[in-house]
Amino acid sequence: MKNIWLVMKAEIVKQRRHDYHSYFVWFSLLLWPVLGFLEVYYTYQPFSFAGRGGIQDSQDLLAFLGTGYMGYTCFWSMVQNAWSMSWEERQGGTLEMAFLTPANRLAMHYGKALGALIQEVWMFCCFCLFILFRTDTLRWDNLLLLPVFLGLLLLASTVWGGMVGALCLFSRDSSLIMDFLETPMNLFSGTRIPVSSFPLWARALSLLFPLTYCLQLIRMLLHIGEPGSQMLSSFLGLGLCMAAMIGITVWVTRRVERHNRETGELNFF
Amino acid sequence: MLIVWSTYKRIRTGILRAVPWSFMVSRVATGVTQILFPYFLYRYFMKGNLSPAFLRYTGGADYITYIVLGSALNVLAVSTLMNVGRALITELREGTLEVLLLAPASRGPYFAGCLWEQTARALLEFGATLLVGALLGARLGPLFSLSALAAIGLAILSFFCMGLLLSGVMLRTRDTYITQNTLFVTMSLVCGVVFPIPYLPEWVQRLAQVFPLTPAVELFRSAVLRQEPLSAHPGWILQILLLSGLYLLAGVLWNRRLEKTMLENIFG
Repeated sequence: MKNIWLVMKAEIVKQRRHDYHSYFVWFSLLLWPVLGFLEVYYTYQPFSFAGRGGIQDSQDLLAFLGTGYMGYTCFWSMVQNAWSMSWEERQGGTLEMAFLTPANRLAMHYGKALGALIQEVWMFCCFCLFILFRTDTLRWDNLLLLPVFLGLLLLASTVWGGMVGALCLFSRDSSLIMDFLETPMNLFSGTRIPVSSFPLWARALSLLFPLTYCLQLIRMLLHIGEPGSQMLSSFLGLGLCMAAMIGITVWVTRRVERHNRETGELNFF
Repeated sequence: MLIVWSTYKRIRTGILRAVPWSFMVSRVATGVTQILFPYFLYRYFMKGNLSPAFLRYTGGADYITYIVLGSALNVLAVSTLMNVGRALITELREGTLEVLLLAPASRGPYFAGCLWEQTARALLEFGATLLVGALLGARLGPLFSLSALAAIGLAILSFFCMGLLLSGVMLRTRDTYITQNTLFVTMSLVCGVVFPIPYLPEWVQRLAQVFPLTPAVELFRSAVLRQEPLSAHPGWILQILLLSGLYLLAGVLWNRRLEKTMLENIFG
């Protein structure tokens, strides 16, 4: 256990030393997400949305989008980070270390994810929390919910990040994952539009993304949007998704190592 | 003319050999994404429930057509700005800038070659976005009118002029990532791409007039949505031409000054 913690800590420190060196982080971590958030908010303006999906007025809309974007940013930063990190490791020649080190592989993946997560999303999360406070979604009397849903988000996105990291780290052409994930995840997991308003095929697609369950749970906790859906089923869904993601991470890592031992190649697919 | 043609041929060959798909695919994806979200919003969530203000701002426009036209022109703007703007810094990164600066060819035809090469590709992306839009139900019949085509031409001209300045800025700051992303995110927020700009605060609306995309998208929409001739909006045309002139002037002056010091600190 101590070893696992040590590996995770090392990965987190590595991430910080590697990424935090220029002022561009302020742009990518705060300015762009905020501008994107505003664009979505204004895209809603041409509609008269009284009462649809439990959204009564612009306060409700802001709270809805605030939670949605917070979740999405956590998950998306994982994808982006896994992708850029896989390039850096490949070009920097440190990828071989991943194959040679005696460190626990899962701890390595999750350390990478957690490190990136803590550094990359805190600024935008502060912005979202500010919005949640402004819209009275978070108040003094339900402030105890804050650690609950932050913890949920942190856990789910770390597991997700571990999977994406494992997929990206062992493949040279992983930019495809970005293209496949960016738009569909944003659209179908209910970041910007409630999943309940989708047609059946889109709702079926939304079940594939763990972010969907995560956002459902968070919004249920904070009483945003329609009541309707069941807490238990979302929990089960998220649990199932997380188990599947951990399974994929372990499987990919093992396969890759065996492949590497047999052929000496650093590319798996 | 020879310079235009050889620049065209060189860039095209480079792209076909090195990154045949990724550049184009990702930009078509940007355009389609920009359509998909408002489409879902309109069709499934709001069920076509537009507010009276929207109809007032747009003169009773069809929503899907409105956003498809905006997104398509935005794709065109992004690709023109991106390809013309990144031309010089790409030369620097690939190590050919020195050769270019020493060559007797002048900058004008060089950028014209870049523009020509990229317009051929950008129109494909533009077309793909419009096609997806048409499949989703946008009414794009009047697209093939003289005034719509002229509006597209004016738009490309203004994006090109802005791209010239951008190219200088990128070369000076040695940065593409922050400059381009900040510019594109801002443009798609303030220029009225997927919603009419009167919804924005007044000072943002005034800021939006700095970007040629704002009048260009209005002009393009009036030509397609309401089939108005270009002469109905001399103000927008004047604004586009004026902005183009200003950006062109600033770009040319900046680039000329930059080139003088460029060779000396090329490795700095």
